[in-house]
Amino acid sequence: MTPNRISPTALVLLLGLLSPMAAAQEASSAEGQENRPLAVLAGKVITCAGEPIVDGVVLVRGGKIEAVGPQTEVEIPEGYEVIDCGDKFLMPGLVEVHCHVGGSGDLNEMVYQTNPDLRVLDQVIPHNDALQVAVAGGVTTVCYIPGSGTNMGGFGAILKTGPGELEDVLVRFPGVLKIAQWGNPERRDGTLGSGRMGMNWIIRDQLEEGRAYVRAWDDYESGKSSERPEIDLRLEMFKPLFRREIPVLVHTQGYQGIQATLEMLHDAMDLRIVIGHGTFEGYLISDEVIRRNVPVIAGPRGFRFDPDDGQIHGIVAEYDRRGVEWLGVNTDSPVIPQEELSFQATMAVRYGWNEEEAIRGITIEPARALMIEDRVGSIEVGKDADLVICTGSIIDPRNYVTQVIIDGKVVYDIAKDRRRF
Amino acid sequence: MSRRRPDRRCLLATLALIAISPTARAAEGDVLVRAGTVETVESGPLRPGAVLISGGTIAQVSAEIEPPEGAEVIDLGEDATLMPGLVDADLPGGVTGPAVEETREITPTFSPLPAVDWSSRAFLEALAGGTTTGAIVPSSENVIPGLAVVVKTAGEEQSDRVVSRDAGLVITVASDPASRNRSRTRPDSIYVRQPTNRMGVVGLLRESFARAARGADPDPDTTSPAAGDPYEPLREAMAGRRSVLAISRTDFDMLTVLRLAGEFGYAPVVYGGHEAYKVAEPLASSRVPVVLGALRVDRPFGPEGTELIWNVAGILHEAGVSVSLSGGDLLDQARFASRFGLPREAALRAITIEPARVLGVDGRVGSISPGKDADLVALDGDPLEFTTAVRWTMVDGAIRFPKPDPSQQED
Repeated sequence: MTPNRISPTALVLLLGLLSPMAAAQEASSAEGQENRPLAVLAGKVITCAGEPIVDGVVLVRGGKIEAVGPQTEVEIPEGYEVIDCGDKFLMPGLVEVHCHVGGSGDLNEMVYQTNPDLRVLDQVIPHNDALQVAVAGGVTTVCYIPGSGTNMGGFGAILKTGPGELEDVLVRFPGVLKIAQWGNPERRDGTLGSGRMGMNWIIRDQLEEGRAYVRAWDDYESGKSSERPEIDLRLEMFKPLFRREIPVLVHTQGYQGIQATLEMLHDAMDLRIVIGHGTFEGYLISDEVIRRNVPVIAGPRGFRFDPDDGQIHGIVAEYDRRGVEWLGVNTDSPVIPQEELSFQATMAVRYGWNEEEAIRGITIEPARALMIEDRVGSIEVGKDADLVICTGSIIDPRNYVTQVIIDGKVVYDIAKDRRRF
Repeated sequence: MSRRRPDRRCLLATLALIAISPTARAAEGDVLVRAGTVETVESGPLRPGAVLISGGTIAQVSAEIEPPEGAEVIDLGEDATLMPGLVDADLPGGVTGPAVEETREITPTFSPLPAVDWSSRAFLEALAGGTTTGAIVPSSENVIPGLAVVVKTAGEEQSDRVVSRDAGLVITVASDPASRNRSRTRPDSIYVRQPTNRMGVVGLLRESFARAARGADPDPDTTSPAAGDPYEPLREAMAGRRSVLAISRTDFDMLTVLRLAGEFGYAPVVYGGHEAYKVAEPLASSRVPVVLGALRVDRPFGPEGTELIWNVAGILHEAGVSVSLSGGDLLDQARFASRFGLPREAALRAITIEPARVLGVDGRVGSISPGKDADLVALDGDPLEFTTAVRWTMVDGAIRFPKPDPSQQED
């Protein structure tokens, strides 16, 4: 092969989109039964896009939400299969920003401190055992990411939790870049990055290299420069990142950690960021978070003992009290089992968060953080039909999920599958 | 290989045959072998059948052949089957020391040939089980361990035993290379290196193919220092002039094999394929042959916890995938595969012509056809019957198993 001969098609594939070869034809051969349009009736429809609807109905067609409204206003067309949930609650599928159980678990490649060439896409296992239980907990979308063993673990993939081949469940790849800026990647073995100073120097240095690479390509593609840069696979996935098409999910905690995240990743590098843990005394920097309007998807640790006042404080409640609105929770599964995402919200409410916001904090707010709110996170016309039916408010741990619909297909129904969670 | 001892009757028959066998004078004179059944593999069974061998090569195959003047005639009898020497696409053993260069991950030009122990017991065992040709595949401990070679399991001269010095570029799309590497240990250890997990394995593969594609210099940290160009085999593969033998066992790793093949345009063969039954459709539509590792159903199996089922071969065959069985004991494997769903004809092909094609040596071995090497196995019954034993194995016209008994040689 001659140098530089990588076809445009190959390039698209390099970015991680699926080879047509790998595509199973299952999607087209899905049974007609599953493609039947649905009318889902519930006592309360929590849309996460406006007020809840009492005695509401959601029409589902072609995997998408076709209509939503009160049963008195929305007419059910002929031929729709009616799923009458009585007085149960209907809500959008739950969205997890911080999941490590989406594949084979090859998460930490720790020879180098920065690994922007690595990707979890090649080891995704759709609908694996952990994700099957996650479905039973109402979780329909997860962001499967590398671990925090290094400063830059690689690129994660956003997946649906339901059955199917990779191409059926993949929402986006690259989904996010994983950066760890606190704690875990600090090294004590004599290599660079022994503490916060060195570690932050390493992250900045790697991002500078990536930004220069993307700028060179942007200049070439916009005609500002006639010199075609060399393709460097190690830096290639920085393109969607610096073009602000995907966010960085940051393992960052504590006041200092979040300050470094905001100033370096948000201010200096102009990246879309998600504060991925935000724990310990991180909420003390809430003013800076609000000023930049970045999301805090907190957890898995939900509380902090404050030695000054001798009290236990809820992490999310403290952000909330200080005025942070773009808030959610995560499980960091398997640290907290993936199916217990709603319990994270429950505990945040126990520590003082508001129930309504807590429901948004496991649906639309994480969806916005991942930049997939055009597809999931709320019950709105045109979005993916990812629906969860629960015996009541999912924030009350006495309630449980009875049915889950993903992309318009019933993937969990306790009447058939028995109650799994 | 069948480790069962031959019974007395069989032993006597064998000894009697040795007395008239052409062992000592392989290249001289013609030999005619008659059997109740000749499984030619490529042109159906002959019942009865006869094979004429001349100068170590198959000269004629027919239901009945008049023996030429001076030819030796071996009549195996009505119950016997004559079939092509078996081809093992992943012969176990046969190499002295590790079958991989341990100090680098990317060693595409490295060959196991100089490390082959020609008198290894592995060859004798293969021969006793009817295997006459085998591929020596470098070990999966490297991300790109090197080239596969194909050898005969017996022969006078070592150089005559080499069938192919380059049967494909071996790559690993599995977690194996990560098993011994560590991110942090003694700083002077060579094992402080990528990959330490699957992300690193795929990362190194993609990086190597991309560098090869654009003609970049090899990465000295990962790649073998070579006088020539270590990426040449990768470029040959991308140009379609060389197959890529991808060691891969889980379903998602096989999808990665297909994805990388799509990105870089090489033609892969899957080696291992434990969970191939889960991805039979994409394998079939991409026309990717599968060389199955030794069949078993311990569950979950191996470091990757793969889920094995008995009928993986049958499912692949039904989906239209070329299936080869490998890893030793080929007759027993074909029997098990057939017992659990692989049709008879496919089971026989899976240990002969299919692996020969995968390795690019089907012009010489893999079936009983005129012009091919006279590699034959004489069986005392049907090949897929569990009670059937190997009577003798012939390589290049000479019976190499059983070894001639010195006390009988004067007869």
